[in-house]
Amino acid sequence: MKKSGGGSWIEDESYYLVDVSQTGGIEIVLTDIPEDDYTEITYTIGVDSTRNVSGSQTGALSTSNGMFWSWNSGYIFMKFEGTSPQATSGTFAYHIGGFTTANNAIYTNTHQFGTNLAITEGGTPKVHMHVDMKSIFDSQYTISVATMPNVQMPGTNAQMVATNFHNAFTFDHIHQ
Amino acid sequence: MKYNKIWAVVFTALTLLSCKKEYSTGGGSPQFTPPPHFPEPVYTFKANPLTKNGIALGKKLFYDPILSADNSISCGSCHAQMHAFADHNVAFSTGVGGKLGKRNSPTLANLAWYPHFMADGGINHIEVQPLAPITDSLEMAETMSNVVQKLSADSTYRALFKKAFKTNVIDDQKIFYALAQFMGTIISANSDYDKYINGRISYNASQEKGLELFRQHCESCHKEPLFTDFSFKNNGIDTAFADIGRGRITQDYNDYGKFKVPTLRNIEMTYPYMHDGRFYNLEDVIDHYSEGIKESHSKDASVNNLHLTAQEKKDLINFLKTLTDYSYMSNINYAE
Ligand code: HEC
Ligand code: HEC
Repeated sequence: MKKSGGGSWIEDESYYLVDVSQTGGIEIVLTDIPEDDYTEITYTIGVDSTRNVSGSQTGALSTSNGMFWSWNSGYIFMKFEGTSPQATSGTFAYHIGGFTTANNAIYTNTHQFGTNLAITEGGTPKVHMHVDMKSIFDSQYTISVATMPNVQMPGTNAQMVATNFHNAFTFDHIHQ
Repeated sequence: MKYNKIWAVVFTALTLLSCKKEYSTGGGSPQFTPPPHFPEPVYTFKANPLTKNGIALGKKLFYDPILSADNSISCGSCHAQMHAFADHNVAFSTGVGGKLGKRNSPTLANLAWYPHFMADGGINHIEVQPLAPITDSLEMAETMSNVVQKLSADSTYRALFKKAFKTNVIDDQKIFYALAQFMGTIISANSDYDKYINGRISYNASQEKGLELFRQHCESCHKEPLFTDFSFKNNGIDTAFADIGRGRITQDYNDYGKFKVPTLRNIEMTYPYMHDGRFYNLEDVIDHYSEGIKESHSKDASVNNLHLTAQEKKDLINFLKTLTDYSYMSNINYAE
């Protein structure tokens, strides 16, 4: 989070695993942010390369979450599975990841609030974001479950889905 | 001049001390002593400090079928100490429900020196290696969350995790830490070869000749003293590849048919050989390198039919048999 007067605040151990199969919205709560005015937020979609090569981790990065490839070490950044009459087998599965230079699928998004977000003692301001899943199929690349029903390892296809997915995130507004 | 020398000695002594410290903490005893003729280990237990209780817990987990879906298969089922932690001389191992695996179970020794694991090198860290056998439907067919649940429901395990990690919470990381402590401390460095290298015994004429042939034809890949350089090579066993090996990980056509150069320590005990267990004895392996090399796009330029004499083949095998380490296979610390 960038401060209006310069400088920024970075959360320690800032890893979140979000399950959007639940309906409604998803709320991620950040605590202990220093009091200040903030102008923008930056976050990573995926897991930094270091944590992909550092052995066993905990919390959002625990292998119990099923987001780590057992046979080809590395985190699955995003899992998107479903059924579609257009897929030959009736189902599609996108397991997206990749942290090496050649297969890099890590994206960093930055959103400007357009106004100052004030963090105060006891305050609970909110940053509202939208994720439009249609972007996965149709933004920078056109992706079809008919021609590409399965992406289950790092590589060019995973990079295309990751590119489209990062476009899905948009900032909407803040609540003070 | 004199003062400078004294300082140099003091610094050397200090460095050694601080190096030693890294390997053993907590429970105390020196559980990990890298052999003097080995290079620096890759895994140094830095984030996962070794303790007697941690190693003991790792050993219990290694031999406990609780890690499999129907509590029928343990790591030890496919990695038996008397076979240098390879399987019981079968090409493919049997997993949950009698399913057969797709590759030959390899020896486990000196794993703290491995930069990557499996025949295709797909696994990049000793701590996350057990995730593969535990969750593979052809092996233990279990999920990590079930394993955590089963162990947490067991009061003996709760006590053992508490002793090893000072916490009541059992999670996948603690399980992997314990297994890494056990596996990482399994060392094989007391074969006749090691005794020879350290000047404690001498070789007979045939073994001596075998070592010479080995250094001439095999050393470039099976590098001493670990007997692998951990690179991926195609040693000419196929013209077409049923298993593309390293290519599965990199998706690079040039890597199709390449496999991790395996260690040759305790090779006498770990037949059958190669990633699919195609050769039943060392004679077959040597015949392969002597007259059986097959051409393919990724075959390493350095492997070509050696046309060895019958005596040279015997010498090579006699040398390879000096890599057998009986003390490691009978070491009580590694036993079930
Ligand atoms: C059903 C048989 C089976 C079981 C059970 C099994 N393994 Fe293995 N293990 C194998 C096979 C086969 C391979 C080689 C796989 C490959 O190369 O793709 C292997 C490879 C390994 C390796 C890599 C060695 C190397 O040279 O890279 C390690 C380490 C290992 N196993 C440890 C374990 C541990 C720990 C467990 C228990 C959690 C376990 N294994 C359970 C069959 C088994
Ligand atoms: C170009 C590198 C290279 C050279 C040179 C080489 N090897 Fe190998 N060797 C390999 C690879 C790679 C494998 C594993 C192939 C597989 O798993 O299918 C292997 C496998 C083996 C195995 C079987 C190991 C096991 O556990 O299954 C033996 C034994 C062996 N080599 C002995 C030798 C001998 C003896 C020589 C010299 C005459 C030699 N190798 C030369 C790369 C090499």
